[in-house]
Amino acid sequence: MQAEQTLADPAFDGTDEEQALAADLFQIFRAQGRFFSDKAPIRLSLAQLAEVMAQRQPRVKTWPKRIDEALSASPDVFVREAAGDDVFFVTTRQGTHPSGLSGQREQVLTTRFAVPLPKRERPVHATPTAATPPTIPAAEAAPTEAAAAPDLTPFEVVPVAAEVAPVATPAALEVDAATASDDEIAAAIRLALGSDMSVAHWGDQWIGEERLHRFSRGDLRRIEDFIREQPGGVVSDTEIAQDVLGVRPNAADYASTLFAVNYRLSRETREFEYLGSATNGLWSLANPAAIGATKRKASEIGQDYRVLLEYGNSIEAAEEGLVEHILSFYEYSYGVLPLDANMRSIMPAPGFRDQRAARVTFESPQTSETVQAEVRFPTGNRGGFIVGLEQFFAENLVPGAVLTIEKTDQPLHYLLEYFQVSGEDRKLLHLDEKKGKYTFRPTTYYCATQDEYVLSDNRFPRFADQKPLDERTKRHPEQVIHAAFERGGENVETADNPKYYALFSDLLAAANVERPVPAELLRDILTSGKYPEFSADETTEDAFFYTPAS
Amino acid sequence: MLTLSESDLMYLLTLLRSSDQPMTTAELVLALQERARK
Repeated sequence: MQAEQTLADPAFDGTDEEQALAADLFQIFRAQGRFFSDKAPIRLSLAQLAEVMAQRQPRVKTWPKRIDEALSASPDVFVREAAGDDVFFVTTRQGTHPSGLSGQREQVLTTRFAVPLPKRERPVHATPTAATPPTIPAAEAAPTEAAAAPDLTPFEVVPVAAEVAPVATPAALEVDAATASDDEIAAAIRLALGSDMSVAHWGDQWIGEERLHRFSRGDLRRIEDFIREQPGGVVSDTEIAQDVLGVRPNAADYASTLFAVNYRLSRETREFEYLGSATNGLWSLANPAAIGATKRKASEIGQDYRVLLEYGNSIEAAEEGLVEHILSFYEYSYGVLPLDANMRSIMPAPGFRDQRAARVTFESPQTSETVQAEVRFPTGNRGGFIVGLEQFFAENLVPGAVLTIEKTDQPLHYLLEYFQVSGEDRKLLHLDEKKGKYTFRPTTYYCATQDEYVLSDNRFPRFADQKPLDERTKRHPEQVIHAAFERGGENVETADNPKYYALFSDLLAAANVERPVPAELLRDILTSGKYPEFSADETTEDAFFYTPAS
Repeated sequence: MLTLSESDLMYLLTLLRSSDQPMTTAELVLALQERARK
């Protein structure tokens, strides 16, 4: 159980206005020295304090004077120090006068580090440590009363080893806010603050961790019970804030409460799982009933989509907030869609690093149904994808169907549309699960298709009675393309010495039966020269040969 | 790799620790740019 220490605020002197300002500024001191002991001096310059206040209320031009007066009016709390033109104020987390502490500090751990022990009789062979003396960069250390010989500057670690080996660190370029672009500054901010434990981070928002409301175990239990009671087992951060914590949307601290809900629950990974986006919080209990595919594990689908970590990053110009997609056989079979650059442009971004999934809904105006799905974010070696559409695809679409996915005003809610047509009958490719073979079945469908991607018996007759490729072969895209030539191409030589000929579009449709093969990957394999078995037909655009190794 | 100067980092930390409301990355970018202009 974690006990939270609470410190009472000190009493301030001066006029009402000075007292209010001093109380406000005292919180800045306390935040700055949050890791300090209660009596350690915290020192901030007048310029630093004025800068913070100017950021909050830029219209006020007299901050230095007002701050100086306000803090000087409480000499029991703040000590004013002048060094040349610079003015500093010093206090402690307790709000007590920081003077006269040096005598006590001689017994603290930092002092024991700073004062060398007497020499041992037998030398100790110490290995050189590879560390430069780190200093905690929070507040400038206040000078202690200067008499004592050893430097007792608090919170500075004195190096013990004589030799300091050079540390290999990647070259980091300091960004100049005056000249750098917004993106460059933003990247530097994310890098710097993302690893600072004193700053809480959710989506694209930041706040000092200490400023954020903390929840008691009782609060967390009530939130847990609330989520458990919901039929879908998923609730939004706004529901938690309003229904469990009783904070109204018009309350001044509503935004920070939502932030606190999302940030604090994200630290309780044993109890809760985040399923929201960078801007909309959504929570379930840990290990929720996952939305997945029935025929293939999510981890295997993620492995299949590993290619998206390298390919599928070009965005095809489309209407803002809308993506057009042609359904492949693989996607149709497992009810998935690739989280490529196009899809990422409209899908939610994760709210936290290492977030597994986001819960989204797709509404189909054609069928008047709403389907729950999950966006699975990419991990180290797995690509991202959307899963949960297996039944919808099976009931309404065929491979080759043209889909549009459109953002709506509702967060995490999308329109999934297709063009309805009068019934069309064709023999289309299916996988006979019992026999473990591909077969062509008469199929009637009512969705518009892109003919190049429709796997019909007259275009791909050689697929009939073929077995799906084994997992090992599927892991190698070039071997999948070998099979695509054999199944979708034409042998232009002899049966004993075959040479297959196929159009790019045929290969794309046939290869995407077994696994995701983005067009860029297919073209790269066919034309890079890395695989000499493939060659381009110089006389026909987008036509290729495959000569199997004899 | 781009990083913040110590002074900029200190400024942002002070800003964040003293604010009751969350700030977006864009707001922090603006704060640094305004500070650099002064």
